[in-house]
Amino acid sequence: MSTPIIERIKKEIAGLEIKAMPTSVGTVVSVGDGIAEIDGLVSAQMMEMVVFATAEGATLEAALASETALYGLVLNLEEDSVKVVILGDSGLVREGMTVYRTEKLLSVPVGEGIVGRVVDALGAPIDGKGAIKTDRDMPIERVAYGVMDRSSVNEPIHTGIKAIDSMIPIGRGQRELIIGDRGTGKTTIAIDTIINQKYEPKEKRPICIYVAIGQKRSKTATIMAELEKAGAMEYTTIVATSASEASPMLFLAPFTGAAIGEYFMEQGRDVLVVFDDLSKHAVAYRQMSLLLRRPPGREAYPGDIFYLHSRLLERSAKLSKELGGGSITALPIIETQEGDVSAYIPTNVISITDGQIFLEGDLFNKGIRPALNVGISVSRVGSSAQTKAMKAVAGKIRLELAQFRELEAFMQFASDLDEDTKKRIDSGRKYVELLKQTQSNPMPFYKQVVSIYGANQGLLDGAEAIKVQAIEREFHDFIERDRKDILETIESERALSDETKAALDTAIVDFKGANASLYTA
Amino acid sequence: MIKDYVLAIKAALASGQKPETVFANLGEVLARRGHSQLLGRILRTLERELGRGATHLEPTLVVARDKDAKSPLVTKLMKELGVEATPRVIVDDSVIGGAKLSHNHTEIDATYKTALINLYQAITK
Repeated sequence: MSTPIIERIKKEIAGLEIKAMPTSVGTVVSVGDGIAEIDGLVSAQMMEMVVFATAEGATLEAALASETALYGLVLNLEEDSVKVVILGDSGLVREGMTVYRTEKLLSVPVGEGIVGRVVDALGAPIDGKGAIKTDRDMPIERVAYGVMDRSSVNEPIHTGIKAIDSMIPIGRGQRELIIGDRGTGKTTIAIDTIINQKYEPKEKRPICIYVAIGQKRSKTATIMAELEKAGAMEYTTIVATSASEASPMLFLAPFTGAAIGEYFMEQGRDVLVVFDDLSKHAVAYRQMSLLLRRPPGREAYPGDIFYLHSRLLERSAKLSKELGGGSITALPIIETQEGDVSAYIPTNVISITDGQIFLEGDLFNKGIRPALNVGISVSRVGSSAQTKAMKAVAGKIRLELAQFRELEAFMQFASDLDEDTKKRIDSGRKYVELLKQTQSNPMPFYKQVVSIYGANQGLLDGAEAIKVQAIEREFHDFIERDRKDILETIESERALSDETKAALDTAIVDFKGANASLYTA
Repeated sequence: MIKDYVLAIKAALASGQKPETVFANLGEVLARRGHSQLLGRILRTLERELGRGATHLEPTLVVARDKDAKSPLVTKLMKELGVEATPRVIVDDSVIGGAKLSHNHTEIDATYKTALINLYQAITK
């Protein structure tokens, strides 16, 4: 290189002005189990991110080779120190290491590009599809919207599951708990609900966020494949944390899901967030709290475990028109042990949510799927959000099933039953059969209305209970083939007019006439 | 248990007892109780406790070469942080150039290494 150029470079370096700002610093006093105690860090805030100087003493080349900065999250402000959880490889942190304040509360980068992607608890992509184009950072912890900012829940979110949409309807902005033992179909209900959103018109279709908290990676991969196969990934984001990750990541995951949801809600859009599951979240928070030396309470959970879940679920809301009218519907999942819903965490979350869907192992083993216990499942606000069409047909089914449940216990020891009782039992059995649905097979609400209306108006009369599903299938085919206008009317009007009812009555008579073989023993 | 011993040592030292007496007594008590193996950990914890708050408290300057400690940049950094005493100088050639001054839990990093890392991260982001 020629001398003038070298001289010029030297001159440039000599005149190089580095703009550096004073930063608050601290020193790692002790580190272990993913927790670091920091001396210094004057005026650090709760939930503030700090950065560890992992490149201290390393050469420039080595510093550049290290992938990303190592962050920590301030969670304990003590008299003479600060305790942070390390959000990464805690093996890189050593005693005496310098730690810098960032003066930023933990936030997650969000944008339209996050839809259809799989991210970790910090919003970083983990699906190998490259960087995500983001617009802004959303704080992970945030105070929920106040009373005046909200409007009442008045629009339904259809799960595609007949038993739920007819008897335990969920509204946009509601928090409906899915609770049950392991292997009773909790995740299946949540995934079917996500898949069912593809039947919604595009402008009304909610953005779906599935938050996997401490799940097996294989399970998350299966769910992703299932959503992709059903074409549901195009409106879904997965926040995935696996069982092998550090407890702070599991603790953060649902808050990240809520923060992503809030980004879309503030744009006036509807969002559906599934927290799978909050039992594991509570366990992760307990682990983290014990390591932070916070005093343990009942079952060794920290005293603020209720507040943890209430502040998370309170962020789901239906915003007022002035704020755009967006909503976050939350479907938290809780896993019970041996059906014990009176344990600490289940009772906490039951009291926070606006309704519960109880799933029972016994029903599951009897072949009733979804294994929904209709008797104790409730939706406290959903009925005001139910479509008129569904409301018109769902009243009878609830009554029929309630009567059937009463008689079911009685018929086990009664040998001689009167005709009326026999009729009611037969009708109840058929309704139970009608409400059975296979996995990944959600049904659009207008088809559900047709099925339930048919059952109420004698479509199943004269048939054996075993043939109910075949009759329903054939009836749907018949309607789609010959009376498609009925489905289109219900879909667009979302109500059952007298004309539609008359058309359906005629369709039932015509179907029964044309399919007599389905009604013979 | 270790914390209790450390608290007792700190209290004894604060009451004006001579360090030699305190540590001699400590050794005796530990031997009598069969806790001699804890001595190393007790002293380590004590060292950490006594050193708490001291790091980044005194003015410390990190430069790549000795002569950089007298550069105008250092004078500027000292003025900015309000440092009047002569800082402890640490020579660390990994910083390449510039200077890093810390005092009273506040630091200004004006090293070339940090500037280059920031530049690299801004370009590759």
